[in-house]
Amino acid sequence: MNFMRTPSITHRVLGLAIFIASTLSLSIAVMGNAHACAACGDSLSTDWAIQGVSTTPGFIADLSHSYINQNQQRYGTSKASPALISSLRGAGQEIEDYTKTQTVTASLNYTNDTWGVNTQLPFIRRTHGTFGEGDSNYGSSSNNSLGDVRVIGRYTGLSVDRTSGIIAGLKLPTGSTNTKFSGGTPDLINTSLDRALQNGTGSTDLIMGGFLSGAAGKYGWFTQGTLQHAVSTKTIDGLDYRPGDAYVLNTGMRYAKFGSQFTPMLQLTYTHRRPDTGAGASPADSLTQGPSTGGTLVHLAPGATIRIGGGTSVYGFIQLPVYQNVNSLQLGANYTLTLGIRHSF
Amino acid sequence: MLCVALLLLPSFAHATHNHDLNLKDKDGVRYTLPSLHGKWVLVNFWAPWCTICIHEMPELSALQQQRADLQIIGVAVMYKSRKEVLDMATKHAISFPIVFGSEDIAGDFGGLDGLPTSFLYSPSGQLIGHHQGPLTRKQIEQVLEQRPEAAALFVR
Repeated sequence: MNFMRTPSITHRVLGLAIFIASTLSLSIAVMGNAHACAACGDSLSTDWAIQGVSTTPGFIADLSHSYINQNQQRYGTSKASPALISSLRGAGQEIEDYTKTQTVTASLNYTNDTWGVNTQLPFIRRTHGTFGEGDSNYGSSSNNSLGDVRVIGRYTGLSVDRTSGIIAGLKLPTGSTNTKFSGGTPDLINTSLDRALQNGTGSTDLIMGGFLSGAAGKYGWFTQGTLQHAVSTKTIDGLDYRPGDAYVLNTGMRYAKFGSQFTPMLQLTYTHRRPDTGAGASPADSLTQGPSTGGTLVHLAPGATIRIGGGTSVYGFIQLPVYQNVNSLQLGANYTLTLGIRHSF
Repeated sequence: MLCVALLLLPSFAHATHNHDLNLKDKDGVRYTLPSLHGKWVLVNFWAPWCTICIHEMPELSALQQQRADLQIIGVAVMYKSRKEVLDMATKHAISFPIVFGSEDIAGDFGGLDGLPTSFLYSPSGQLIGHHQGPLTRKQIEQVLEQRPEAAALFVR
């Protein structure tokens, strides 16, 4: 019987639609994490959101929820010892205790034959605790507010088969930047959180990158590289702040037949973020005087998407750190959990 | 709440599989089983690059023109652009409605192992089965006439 089982070049692109849409969802989910911590959360690319490539013309609405609990003290490539933490604190450095972030992101994606645009609106709920300078100072905060909105465009008309493309967009300064400590010792209450802990960076960032995709049989793969750079910053109380540039390389693969109900996926994310700068950035390491933000991280993210019919799918991912090299002392998390639902129309 | 909803939704996946088809063609006309009650319905998945699919088209077009008790719906998938689909429809004078398909639409039919793949519904709206590979006009007519020798062409 004649039956064309081998995907053509076009299949390589179009067969990846749900895979790519799901990676978009994953990246959206980690957006808030990037803002939650000056360095640790940054290891997960906010930039993968820009890929957002759905090769089927039309709209995709997506709603996702991510959870990350950053409660591990890390220094360089390993866990920070109590002795080291004590030394840093003794030298006057503030020690972050925990940062718990839940992000609900609504996004709308439109795709034409050769171009598309994706808009993401994150709503962030974040609680945080910090040991301040001194022996007994402690501050805690809770903030529920809109994060930084992203508008990302993409163009896939460079190649006939649309297996590659370029992406460009903006992260807008819509997130709040004025959260203060609301609990703890009197010395800290009503003082502002570090800029890196605010739900918004206050900056307008340019996002640029490109991507490639392909397939072999029922295996599809995708890789993307992006750069995020702040082109406009916001000065608060006379203190300027510029989030560090982020360089991100994402790659992933999936296994499924075209239109499969269940699609397992595996993604790998490499992120290098330069330290934040400006008088409003987190203070330097009290022992080395080196930067206390930025670093290099690698995460592995297994996940799956389930089609429930009528153009609606649900998905879930868990992101696991496999390599962490942070500047100075930063908070890390054991995992990030992301659940979402999307509908194409 | 979202988490709970997400955990519950997959349980509905099986229930929604093989649901009433709901396809909108390139001109915006929507096709459902109730709207096609009384007619055989053949949903044919194809792609512009699929030579076997293209060779099947004249047979399907001729059959559609010949039989008023049959509605063929072509669902294009894995195409580069909508223009490519429209050009192909024009070039081969396709006489039946064309839907711009997607992986989601293929998912509603349980996914595709290859192309072409056709799904046949009875005039009462029951899914007869699916057929992988090209179909001839004669084969389809035999199925519609419920000839025993054609019974195995469409499988559940």
